[in-house]
Amino acid sequence: MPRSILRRALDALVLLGVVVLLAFVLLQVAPGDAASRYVGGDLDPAAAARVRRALGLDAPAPLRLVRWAGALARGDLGVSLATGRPVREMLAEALPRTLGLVGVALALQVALGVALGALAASRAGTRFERVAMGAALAVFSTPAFAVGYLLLGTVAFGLGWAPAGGFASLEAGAGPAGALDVARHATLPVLTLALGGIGGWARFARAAILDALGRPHVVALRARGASWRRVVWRHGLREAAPALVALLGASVPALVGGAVVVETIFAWPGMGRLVVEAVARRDVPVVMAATVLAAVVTVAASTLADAIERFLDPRTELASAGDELGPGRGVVG
Amino acid sequence: MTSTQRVDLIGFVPAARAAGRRGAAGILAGTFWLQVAAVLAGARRLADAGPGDVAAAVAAVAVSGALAAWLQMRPRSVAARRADCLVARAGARAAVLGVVGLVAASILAPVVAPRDPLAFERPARTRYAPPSWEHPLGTDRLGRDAWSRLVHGARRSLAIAVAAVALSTLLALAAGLATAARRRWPDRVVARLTDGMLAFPRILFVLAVVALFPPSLGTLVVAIAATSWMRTARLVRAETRRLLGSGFVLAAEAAGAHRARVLVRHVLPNLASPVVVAATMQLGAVVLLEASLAFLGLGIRPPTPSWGAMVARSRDALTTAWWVPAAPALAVTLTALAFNVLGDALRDALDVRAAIGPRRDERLGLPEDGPSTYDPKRR
Repeated sequence: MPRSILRRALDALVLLGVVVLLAFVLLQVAPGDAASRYVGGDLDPAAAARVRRALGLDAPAPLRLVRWAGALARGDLGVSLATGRPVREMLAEALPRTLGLVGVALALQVALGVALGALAASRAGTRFERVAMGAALAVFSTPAFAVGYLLLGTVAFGLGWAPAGGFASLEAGAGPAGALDVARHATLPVLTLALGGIGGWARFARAAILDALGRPHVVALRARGASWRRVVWRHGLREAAPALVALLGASVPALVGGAVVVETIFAWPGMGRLVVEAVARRDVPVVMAATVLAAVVTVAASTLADAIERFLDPRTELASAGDELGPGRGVVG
Repeated sequence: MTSTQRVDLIGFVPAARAAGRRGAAGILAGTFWLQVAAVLAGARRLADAGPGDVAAAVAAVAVSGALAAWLQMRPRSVAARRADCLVARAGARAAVLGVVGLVAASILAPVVAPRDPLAFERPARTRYAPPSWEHPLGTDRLGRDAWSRLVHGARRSLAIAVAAVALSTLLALAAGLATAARRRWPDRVVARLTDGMLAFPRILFVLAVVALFPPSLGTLVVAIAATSWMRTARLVRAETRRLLGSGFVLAAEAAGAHRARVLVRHVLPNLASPVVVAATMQLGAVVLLEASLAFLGLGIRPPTPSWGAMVARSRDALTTAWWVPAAPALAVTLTALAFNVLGDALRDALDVRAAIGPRRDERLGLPEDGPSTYDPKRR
């Protein structure tokens, strides 16, 4: 087994290479080079040539790719065009906030979604199943911004139970009081992000558990007197676990994508908001660095999920997860 | 002689009744009865009508009745049975109606919503006006008619979704067929590329493209298509692999057909069902993606009506005029839901085993778990 995990890690490295290459190609194909973006507007040819030389843009493309990749590997992400701060610093500040948001939301949506899916599977063919799966599909089709605005309008503005946005109040200090304050600010973003994925998880969990319940050993268990509840929640869930873990890895990209929208709604100062603001200002170094960083996070997550899946079920072949689920599992697919 | 008997003389009451619930024949039977009702309602003024009018009415009734009867007698094609299967489910029927209504509304936008979606109302009090006869959904923050903007937003949403999905499906077919047919390096390269793009949040990719390229509808469509071909490509690849190993392909190859012919004549038609299902699902996902991008203010120029942007721009009305952000948000949700329900229903309807009608063993009167259970090759 260690060998297969090693192979998966190697795959992940190749994958990251592909992403970096894609990002570089995108930069090359885009109209206007970094020099004109750096200085902005039209500048006279002599100055443009000077800037180009200073930025190392006069080198041939392959050499630039090597230099850029080398800088990335050393952790040198360049300087933001808009703020003049090192991109690395900005990302280091924003990444933990987004990871926290995504992590809690993921845990919440897996717990609720799988529970709903297992309930639906245990009552297959009943009205409860039809209603639950209909609701799951409806939630699955609701954009994150609709959920966010609904919560914002009712819970934050209407009832005043939670702050409408931001990361922390000014008056809240450090320590446990400060942490509680951050948690209060995080409530609505986490709920919005989690709700979006519950539908997809419920549908997938139901299908996976029903599949498990169709296997012969379930008949054997029933024949020996195991209760239906025990069969579904113990054996069905256990059989479905590898598939669910595979989806865990595959759902991280959708969650990170959803975080972009949710952070914008609730003014949560994480990666998503950073990227949206950078796009609005055409701050290319920030956009590219954030894009590559997001790729690192998601690839790491899917590799980890793969390793866990293989640990749970050594028969797993080198296939990618979640194919049978259909497109667009998460908040914005 | 009652009117029913008179109609029966021409011979289509049984046909129309039998046709009652089935596809095109049902629609024709419905129009037939509508015409009968119209003729009866107009009977009072029949004295005013000239012989030409009467002849035209009779001809219309006869033609639709005959068509309904003919459709009913005709052996039903597989496609017609699939259509029945689709329409038989209430949810699917609602989804079909929703999609048809949406398409009709966006084509007929100037008729459905005659007000100019870009026109402002002058006095300041028309901002966030509540719904009225003049403005069925009220007005937005600039005093523009919200209903008009909603209907015109449907045009943009649908156009982008259809264009992007068509493009991505073509990409997926090309990539899937090429990798399934040629096993060596193209397969590996495309597989890695697929993995890489699947592992990546697509909204971030589109954001990066929008940041680098000048915003336009074309850029947006290409960027969305470039991030949505991977799943369908995998599906096409897997299905093609399966089909290439099947008996009829072997037979075609034995008869001397070359690879290209096998792919085009034997594999491609069999891919239609799964690809149609995947594309329908993809439509729902792309509607959501486009709305989310517009919500973030990307890929759209301000005065253009777009559902996502309409929600984003009415944040200040969340408590005072909640219907202004709610209407476009609901429109996005219902559109995506309609496509997703339709995709689900299509998947059931296009499953060939279910659609061809009763299975052979059932027709023979055998129980479902008849002798064929012992056939180890049966799934």
